Amino acid sequence: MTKLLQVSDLRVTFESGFGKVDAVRGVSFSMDMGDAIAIVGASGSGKTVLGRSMLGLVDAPGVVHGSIRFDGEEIVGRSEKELRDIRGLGIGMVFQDALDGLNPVYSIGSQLSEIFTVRRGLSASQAKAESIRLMEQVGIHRASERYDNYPHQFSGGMRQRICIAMAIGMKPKILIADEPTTALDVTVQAGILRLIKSLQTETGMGLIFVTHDLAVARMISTRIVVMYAGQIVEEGLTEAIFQNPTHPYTRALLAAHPGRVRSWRDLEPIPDAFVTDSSGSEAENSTPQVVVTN
Amino acid sequence: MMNNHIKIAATSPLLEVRNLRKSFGGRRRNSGPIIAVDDISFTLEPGECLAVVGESGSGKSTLARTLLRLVEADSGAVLYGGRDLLTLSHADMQRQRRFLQMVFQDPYASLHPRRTVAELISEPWEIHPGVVAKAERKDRIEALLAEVNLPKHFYSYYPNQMSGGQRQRVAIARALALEPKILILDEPVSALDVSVQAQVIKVLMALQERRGLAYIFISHDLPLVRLVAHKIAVMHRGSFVETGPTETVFENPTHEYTRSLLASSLSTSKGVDAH
Repeated sequence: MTKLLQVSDLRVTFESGFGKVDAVRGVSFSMDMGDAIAIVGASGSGKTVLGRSMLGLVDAPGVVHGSIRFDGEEIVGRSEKELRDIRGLGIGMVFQDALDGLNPVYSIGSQLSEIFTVRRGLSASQAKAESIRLMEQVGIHRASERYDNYPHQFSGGMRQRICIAMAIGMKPKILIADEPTTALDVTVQAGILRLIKSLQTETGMGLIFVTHDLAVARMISTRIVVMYAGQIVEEGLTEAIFQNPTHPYTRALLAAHPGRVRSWRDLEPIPDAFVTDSSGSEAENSTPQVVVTN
Repeated sequence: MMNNHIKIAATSPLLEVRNLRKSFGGRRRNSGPIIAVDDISFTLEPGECLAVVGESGSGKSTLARTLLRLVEADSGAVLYGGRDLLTLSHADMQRQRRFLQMVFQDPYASLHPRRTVAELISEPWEIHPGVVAKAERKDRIEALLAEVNLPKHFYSYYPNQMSGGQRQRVAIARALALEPKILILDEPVSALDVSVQAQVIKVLMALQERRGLAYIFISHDLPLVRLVAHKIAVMHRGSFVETGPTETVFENPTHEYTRSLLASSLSTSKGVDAH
């Protein structure tokens, strides 16, 4: 049985003026259709680089080693042109900042329908109809009236909905979402998370959701992968991790969450670790130092 | 009724805001003015933490800026130390501002990248030279660093040598340099990871206890607000739609908007250790 996604011993290294930085150090996991995996970790844990490597989006000086097999096909080492086909047909991505994903000088409608004219060869009117259907699917009211609007006429939450529409427009098998709600208000955040969740259950696509917030991870995922210093320190079913976290770092993450305690006195801060600053010698060390509080 | 006057005078609050109003624009033909702060009144006592919660665009940040006169109010009063801050001259307001300091959301933007920690913390003393004598400044900087749980050697660090949590603690130390009575905290941890939010929150709350500071804590993070605030004001379209003690608002929200905010807030404690 071929897994939908099989990541084996993935390593991503950045060569910088200060020495070598290992952002991802030997990560392996796999997923099937319908899986919803949350990758949880603090800034600098390597979670974003991990997400981007699956799309071949790690830019120089980053170097990717190891293997990422999508539907049996190797992604690591492919040319930009081949990657573009894999991304368009198989893997969609939603980024943190919805403004970065949209071009300010083109209307929302033209950016959406471009997917269908370029990728599926639809006529302009067919593409428009498809785009409006997609806008409705992601919860844009009076979509046909908003079709000709520009990004600046949309709120942050609506822009993120459009980015999601663009990502799912080609019916990807996997959607990678990197902190898609971090820049949004709580009420808007809840709406976007519900949207992603329902799209995922509807279409059966695989979901990889990158976040630093365990509350978000709990709502969206069936499985959680906890990353620290470029490695997976704990992995398991979402509820099992919440009920019974085994790794000290996972426990520390939970203890630092305001929703888990009754008084600010019970918050357990996680000491700063400049993971990305690892010096050459530290990078050799395959087991990262894990900070244990309490 | 007759005693009332005397009673108010004897126990007048640290800060009292009365019918504050601020609107923007309205000069264009088709649009009326946007009322960002609409008839807001509240009081604040020493050692008290008032949380102002609401979505972006609800007017929270404009409220904070209006209190400090970073933008000028249309009408209303902000009473501090027996005077209405809104009627003070520019120079008088400048002198009063040391008692009301602000900590901003993004410590990556609010700290000058080419200043050392020591320069950042001592800069307010250039404007208010009487607060700390020159000879004592070095010691004071070290004391302030200790108060925000940063080691002494951070003295000569630049912002890019620090993490977000450490930077925000420097911003807090800088706000404390003028020995304020009130800190306005505008989303002080929302630019930070959950894992480092806790360290900043613990520093803030310990400071409040030690110094008896009053906080106006602007936030949209309800689980966090529940931990730190004594009372809550829910802001929606420029008005306080609901105010009350923290637990009352969480247990018995009366306004529909408060209920929708509470419903959208995610929890890590789904039924596991319900409050």
